[in-house]
Amino acid sequence: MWSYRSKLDSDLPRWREAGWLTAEGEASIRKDVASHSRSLELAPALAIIGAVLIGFAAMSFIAANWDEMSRLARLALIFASLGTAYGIAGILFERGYPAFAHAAILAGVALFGAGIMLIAQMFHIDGHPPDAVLTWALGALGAGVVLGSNPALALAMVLMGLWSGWEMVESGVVHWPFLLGWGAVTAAFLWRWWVPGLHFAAVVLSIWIICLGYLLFDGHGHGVVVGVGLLIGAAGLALPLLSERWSAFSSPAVAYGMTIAFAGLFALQFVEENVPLFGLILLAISALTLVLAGIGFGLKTSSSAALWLGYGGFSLEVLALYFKTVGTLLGSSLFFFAAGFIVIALAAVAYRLHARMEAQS
Amino acid sequence: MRSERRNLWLGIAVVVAGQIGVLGWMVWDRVHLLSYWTRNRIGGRAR
Repeated sequence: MWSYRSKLDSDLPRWREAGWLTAEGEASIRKDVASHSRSLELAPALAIIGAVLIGFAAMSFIAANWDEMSRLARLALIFASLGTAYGIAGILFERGYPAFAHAAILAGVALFGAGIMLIAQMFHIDGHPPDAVLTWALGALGAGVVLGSNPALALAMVLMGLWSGWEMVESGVVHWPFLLGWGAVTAAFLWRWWVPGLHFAAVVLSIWIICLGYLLFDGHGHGVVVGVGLLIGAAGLALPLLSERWSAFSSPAVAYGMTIAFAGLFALQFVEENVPLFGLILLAISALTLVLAGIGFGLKTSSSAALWLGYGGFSLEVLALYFKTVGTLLGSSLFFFAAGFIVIALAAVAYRLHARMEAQS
Repeated sequence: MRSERRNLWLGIAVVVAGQIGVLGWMVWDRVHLLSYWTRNRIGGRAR
């Protein structure tokens, strides 16, 4: 929204000078943009940060005075602070401060998690620690759904990721139940049609898919990651053909799919050991073609995310190849010559394709 | 408006009851079932 506004700031005076726009028209456009602004406001952001700080303060206070309190007093304090946080949220909703109310809900969810940890510590419950994180995540999900709180749902997604990550680190195998938890929180995001939450869900799932490469087939499953990423990207390209309604998901799906496939190709080149030179060259050509296709897609569809991910991927690939090939048979100068040649050849192909399409239309 | 207000407080009551219920169950399971039930009736099975 900020970049859109700054672009309008430069375009509107120019259009008015050209006589395409009246002064009243310019004022109306500015008013409309201001009224539809959904930019992140300072007050809600500060309220959320304040809630997090209060949560930490409560935990520190309890920890500092914990030993002097009886068990009953400790329990009463945990239950009372939990109820108070949600009660404050209710009052703030009633008085018309929804952003502050959501911050209070977040504090309530944080206190629920602190309660789980403190009770486990108090009664020496030494079960399976990730289960405590799952319980916390379900509490956050419940609060988010029942009270319609996006920050609580975002925390639920963070906790689902933490739960699965902990399980995978402990066991060293893929934690499939994550998909159930992820699906539940994503369904809540979809139900509330919260676009930043959907992006967050996509980021968490992308990280989880990339981790599959390090866990499947004794840590050699990066090919699967490439395949899944390409499938997601292809699905993104096919979405507008299937239904106009889903076309908004096309560009993000391509960007996430490209990133996943690139991460898999990157691991195949630079994480796997004893990759033969010919294999490395083929993989490098595949990775460069993928990121250049991503840049092309970004330029064609005006998707800045795909464009910048493509640029980032290209820089990362070239830099990693440089370090990998320094002092090897290929030699860095030969590598850069080859890479430059490939990029120019791809540019020539793209130019000819574009010219042919222009001629046909 | 009135029903919205009622739904809000109903939602908060459900969430608070649910979360305190989970925490309470943890305590109950540990204190009551372990200390009372398992020790007195089953005979001191350690957990």
